[in-house]
Amino acid sequence: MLHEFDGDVGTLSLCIARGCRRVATGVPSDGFHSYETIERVNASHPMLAFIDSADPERRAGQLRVLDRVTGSTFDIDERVQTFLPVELGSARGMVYSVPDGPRRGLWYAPR
Amino acid sequence: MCYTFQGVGRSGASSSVLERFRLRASLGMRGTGILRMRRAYQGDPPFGRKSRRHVVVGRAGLFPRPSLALWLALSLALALAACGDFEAQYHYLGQRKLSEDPMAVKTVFWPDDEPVVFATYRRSRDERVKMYIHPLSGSRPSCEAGPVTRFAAVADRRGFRLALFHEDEQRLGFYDSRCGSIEPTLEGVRRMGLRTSGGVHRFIVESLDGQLISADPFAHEAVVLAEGVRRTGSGVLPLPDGDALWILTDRGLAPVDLTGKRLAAYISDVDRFAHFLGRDPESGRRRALVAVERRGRVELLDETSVLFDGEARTKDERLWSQASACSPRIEEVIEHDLGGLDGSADLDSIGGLGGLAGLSQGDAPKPRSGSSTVGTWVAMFSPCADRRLLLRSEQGERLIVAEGVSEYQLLGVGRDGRPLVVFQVGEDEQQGSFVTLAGEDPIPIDVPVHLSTVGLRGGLSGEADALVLRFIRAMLRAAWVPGPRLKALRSCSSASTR
Repeated sequence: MLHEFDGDVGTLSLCIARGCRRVATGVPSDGFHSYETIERVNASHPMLAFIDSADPERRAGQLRVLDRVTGSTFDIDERVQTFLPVELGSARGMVYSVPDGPRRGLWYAPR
Repeated sequence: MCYTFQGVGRSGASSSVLERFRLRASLGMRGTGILRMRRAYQGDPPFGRKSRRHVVVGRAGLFPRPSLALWLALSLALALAACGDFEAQYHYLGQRKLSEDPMAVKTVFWPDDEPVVFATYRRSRDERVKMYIHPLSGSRPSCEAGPVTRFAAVADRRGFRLALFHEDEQRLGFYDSRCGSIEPTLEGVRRMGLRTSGGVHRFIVESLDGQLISADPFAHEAVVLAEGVRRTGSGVLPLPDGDALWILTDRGLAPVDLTGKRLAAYISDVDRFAHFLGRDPESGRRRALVAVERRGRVELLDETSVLFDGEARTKDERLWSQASACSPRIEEVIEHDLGGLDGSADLDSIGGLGGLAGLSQGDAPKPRSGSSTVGTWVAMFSPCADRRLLLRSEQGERLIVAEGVSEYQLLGVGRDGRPLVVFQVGEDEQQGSFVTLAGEDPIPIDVPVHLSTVGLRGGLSGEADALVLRFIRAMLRAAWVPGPRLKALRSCSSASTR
């Protein structure tokens, strides 16, 4: 859930049955996706991908993924503006765009 | 000290395949590994002759001794477990650049057994926005189409089509999966919607000159359903799925099938109407219903313009005018409406969000009535009954969530099969409490939220079913954002108070 939204970015909290906890700040309104990685039949892994500490003007920041089982967080790329997790058949990964800088472009990071 | 292993590869395969060997090293270990090394070959060269098996002998140089190898493996596993960052080592490595242009990622779709990314890009302020397709597997080239202000991808059993709409030019064009333009192209488009009937998608277009047109990009045809269509609103046409469509023209309101054939006589003096999707309680057949307001009365009709309920006339009149006394019948209709409107369509806006899974900010996909997915719940929001929010499972379980609800979002189904819903009580968005229901008990969200600033994403339940459901929807239906059902319900509410 995104809250404390100032029109550009807000605070991202993960809400489960026992309550909510803050995950990141500076998250754009469309800067998070909750999804599941599917490893095999009847086995999935809940993840939360989000843009952390985004520049309010460019709405670009660090693309991070939270493993909701282990609680570990890891980075995918910097200056990411838009992204989508992909979990379709053999295509499993993250598609994202970097608007400027040395890594400017549209990227696909296979999982 | 190095050990020799051997594996069997196939000539003509990619190097990555050749590097996957089932190892059987002299140290007595078995396993499957992905090794990257400089190989030495014996026999035929690995490339150049298709399907010729060859033996590969290489030098792995991995493990000096079996015991040490085991020790190293255990140490590595312990180290990874201790740092808790194993996923980071495993996930999302090997980034590949799809394009030099930093396009906005809009949606990912999977037509023709190949996932593709839809992205949009505006090179400068003066240049029009175009839509790009990037196949993830790289088996076919990227392509572009446009200019476009909204687009959607549609797939059914007949294949895959793109619909691109340009607002300024009021033009709707269709494209195949290689961005090739196909017929029909419609000019003077005022608004449109997507209609699904029998698993077949059709675009329903309202033109500036008052025509209502059914466009089928798979059959390359456009059929005029009616002329003299009265403008009843703006934005996207609210179209429940079904075989018939109620159309309000200068001559009156009448049901028309998707070939343009009028099914019943015109109903005159109609002030306003709203589509519903009903289900015959006996046959289970879906019925296109319409609630008609005329001469201060509200009537509920089916596609043959016969009153849906023999007592509906008086009952509806009373119930719609008295918000606190809705009947089960009306609630049933509203329930079907919730399910049916899920089939209505909104084009994915470039300024908006991706529409593959029907996900948009603050509007997670809601399960449809009649879905066969186990554990699916249907939200029933009755503006007539004190703004009551109910959830009903396919098994018939009904769960009254709250009354006085001003807004809600049904997120999906939790691991325990219970619905996940977030809702707000009270009309005042600043003061209303914001509650999530996960499992049995409502949980107040103890954060300063304003409804317009709250974003929710489908799949928050952490449930694979949601993803599967999303995927099935994407395959069978379309890449659309669901219609604004709350607005429809509010208009129902406003009608009840007139």
